[in-house]
Amino acid sequence: MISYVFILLTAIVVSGSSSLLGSLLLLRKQILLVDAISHAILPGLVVGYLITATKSSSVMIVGATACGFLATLLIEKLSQVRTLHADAAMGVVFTVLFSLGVLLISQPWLNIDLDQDCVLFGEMAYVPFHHLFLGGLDIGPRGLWMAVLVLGLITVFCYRGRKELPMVLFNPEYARTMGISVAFWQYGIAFLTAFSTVIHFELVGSIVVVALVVIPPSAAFLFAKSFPALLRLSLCLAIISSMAGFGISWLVNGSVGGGIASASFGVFLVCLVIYRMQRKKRSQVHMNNYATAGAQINM
Amino acid sequence: MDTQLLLVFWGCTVLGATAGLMGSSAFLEKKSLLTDGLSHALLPGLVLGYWISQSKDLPFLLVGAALSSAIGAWLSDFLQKNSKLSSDAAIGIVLGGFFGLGTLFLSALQHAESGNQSGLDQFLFGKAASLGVQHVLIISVVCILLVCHFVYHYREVKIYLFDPVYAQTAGISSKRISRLLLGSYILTAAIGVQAVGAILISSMLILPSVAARMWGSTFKGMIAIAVSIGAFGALAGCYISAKFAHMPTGPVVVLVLGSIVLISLFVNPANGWIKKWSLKTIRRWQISSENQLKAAYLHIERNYHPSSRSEYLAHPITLAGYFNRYAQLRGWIVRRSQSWYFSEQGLVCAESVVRKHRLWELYLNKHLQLHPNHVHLSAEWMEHFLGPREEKVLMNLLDQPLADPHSKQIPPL
Amino acid sequence: MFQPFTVVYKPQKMNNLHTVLSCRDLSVSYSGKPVLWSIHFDMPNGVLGGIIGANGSGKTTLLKAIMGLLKPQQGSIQVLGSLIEEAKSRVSYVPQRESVDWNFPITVEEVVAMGRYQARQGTWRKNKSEDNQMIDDSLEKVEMTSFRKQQISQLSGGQQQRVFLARALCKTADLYILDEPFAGVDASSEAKIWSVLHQLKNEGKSVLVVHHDLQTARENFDWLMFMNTYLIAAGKTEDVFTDENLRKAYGSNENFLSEISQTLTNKPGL
Repeated sequence: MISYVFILLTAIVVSGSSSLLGSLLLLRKQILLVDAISHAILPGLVVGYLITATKSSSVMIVGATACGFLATLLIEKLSQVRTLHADAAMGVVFTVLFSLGVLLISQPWLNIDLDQDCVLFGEMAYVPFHHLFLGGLDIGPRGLWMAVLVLGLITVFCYRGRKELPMVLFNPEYARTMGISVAFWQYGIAFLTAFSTVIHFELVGSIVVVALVVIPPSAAFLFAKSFPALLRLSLCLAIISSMAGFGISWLVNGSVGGGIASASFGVFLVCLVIYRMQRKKRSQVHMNNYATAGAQINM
Repeated sequence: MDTQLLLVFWGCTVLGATAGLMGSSAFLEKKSLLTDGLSHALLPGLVLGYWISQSKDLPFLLVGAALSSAIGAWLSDFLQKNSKLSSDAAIGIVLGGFFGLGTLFLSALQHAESGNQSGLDQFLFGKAASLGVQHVLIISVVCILLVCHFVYHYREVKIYLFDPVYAQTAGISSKRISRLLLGSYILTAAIGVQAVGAILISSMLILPSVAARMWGSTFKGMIAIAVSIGAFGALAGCYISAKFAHMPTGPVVVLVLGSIVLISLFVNPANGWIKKWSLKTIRRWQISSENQLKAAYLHIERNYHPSSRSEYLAHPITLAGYFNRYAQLRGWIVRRSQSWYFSEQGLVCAESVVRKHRLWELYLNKHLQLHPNHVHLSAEWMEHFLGPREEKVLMNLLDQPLADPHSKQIPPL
Repeated sequence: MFQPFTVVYKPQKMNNLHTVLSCRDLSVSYSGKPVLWSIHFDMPNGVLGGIIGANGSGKTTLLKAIMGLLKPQQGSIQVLGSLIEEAKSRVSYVPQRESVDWNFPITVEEVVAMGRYQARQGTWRKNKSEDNQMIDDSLEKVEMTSFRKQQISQLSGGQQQRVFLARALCKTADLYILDEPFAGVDASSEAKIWSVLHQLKNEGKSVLVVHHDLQTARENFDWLMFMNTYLIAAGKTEDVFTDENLRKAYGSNENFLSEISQTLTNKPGL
């Protein structure tokens, strides 16, 4: 039973940090960067694995983070080619890197203990089995601690940048004239994206990372009036989706990651319906106002 | 070679060619990443199709896949039009949400009946060797239909891709064309999903068009190149995948196509990196040696006050400064009795640089009314970039001037 | 980008206190295509100045170069007697309204508060009440107080521009630089913006505005600059507002210059 609690906790922490990061990426209009990075880190993971020959080593995390960061730089460089636009550049970089990774994984002589399935779906169910020991003391699952670390980093980043981030995201040129180092914050976002994707990738797999980063912030974006509101709302929606998703996956006996992604998609659809209803109501009120105004003129 | 292998090769080649064609229109529509979202959205339909039919009956799977992808396309379109979400967020939602649903179904199904799970896995990464006669037939028929359809609508598509708003005014329904194209992307992805997998099928659409755009400058040319690259990449990928063990088809095809893109980036004729870099380097040499020649010319002008052109050839220029190898290679300077001198060619070049500098100063002064104190900087830079034609135009524009604003002599043309 | 002869004037403390902004032989180009040719002028202190020119004449580029947002190919700029990096806190900039996404989830108040960013540097939430006072004042000046808590996407074009102006006012500066503040703005907002600009001038501040409309330009500006990728004229309005300068600013009589720009575009080595 305790293992289920660990899985649920990990899911909540992962979705929380993803939603915060996703809000930043959404406002930067770079939300698909996370899709690209989540695919592109694969060769980095494999190379890191080959160096140390153990899974879940820090070398692997460093290698994959570097690979993801490199992919963003590469995308940026390619977008500057006159005949390419940004999304085609992105499409080129991540598919090629991902294929390279898959090809490496499927070589039996490299003896890589990662299979194609776990690349996509992650190993949420195995979270309780890898525990972290501090001086012989069992302090809980390693995956959970890594997720907490990522959440902490992102929270600190967002808190430290509570003044700068809205300016950098809303109006970067103006931010530069105010003496803010726009490059620092933008590369900070890119680095955090790469790092968190690497950690989350191990836990929930690439596609769920994308779903968690994209969907709750997009749903929150429909309603949020201000920047802190967007962060708060997307955090709430993400936590709701992760709990609901956990329940669904338990119900149908499916993968936890897939359940969370589906639940967040469901939450998004509900939000969309509410948003449409609100808009309809508002436009109806407008229409009524016009109607009464027209009636008054007619009188 | 046995017939099964030939069949597979044929199927892949046709698929690659069609994907190249559809990919170039997606590229020009700036919807490359949408095709990625759509191909991910195939998965839930595939799994549901399998679950409903309880078999790996192809038509069921393909219809299911195409349907779910079409729903995804509709959703992303709806989101872009009816909410303030941007297009990439809409794509991300479809991609993540649908693929998440797909993985949930897939894992539920696998846990329910663990015996028959190997069948669906290949839809993720693809296995061309598993293509059967039926599938190749479906691929061929659908591809031929798609190509015929594209050719039939060729002119409308061309106008639509260039300017959708103009197309609307010209009596072409942009909405209809965009839907037709979207349908074509979905069908291409759906029939290719078993060969290369749901995750990588979009790159068969994206990569050939990206490479082709660097080589072809016309619409027709780009399409032709994209089709050939797509066909070649798919065929080569399939061949490697069939010939060697442990080579999943999808990744191999993508890597072949990716290397074509990489090579194109370096060597394409329009603005390949190699061409760009070498031109830049040569230009840099040229500019610095032009500056040295100019310095030498001014050195003679200042110290010897020559009255005729031949005197410039007679005086040594060693003291004017350092000369780089480029000037020597071009034969602009010659060495006589341990001193450097202008060659005839070098003098022509030096004169031209000085002339351009002074003409530009005069132009700025006369035509843009800039004060003579503020014309030097701009001329220092323009002297390297004006061509012989501009030199003549300037000469005529300024009525064959003799002196610049600082009353220094302009070398006659 | 390779720059064969980048000559940068050494920044020297200006002994002329009457000059707020000075450009020295400024040339700027985008991927080889020259956009500004040897712009050279001094803007006097305490004036309401305008930059007049046709579309594509490099007005916005000039402002961006002044604000240090792009690197000039040649020449230098001094703002308030020093380089822009040192003078940033004393210059307030209003970018074009189209340069941002107005669907961004942010309230009017938050946008205006951005102007207080530098005032808070170094101190730890010390002047919170002062900040609020400033925000109130600037919103009051542009008459947007009642919209304070609204999201910016619900504003009209003129209101959006007033919010940007309020943000600039919130930063106490000596020089205000505005890029097309009257583009797509309704008449009542335009009148309010003009009155705020005049008020700034009366307080002894300098204002530089990129502007389109010649009629209002003549009435409101007391210093004008005409440009058409090169500087046509700069000086007091009554001196430079001539038919000759207008014709040069809006006509295309310098065919040779535009031809050269075209040939230089994407030339290797630039």
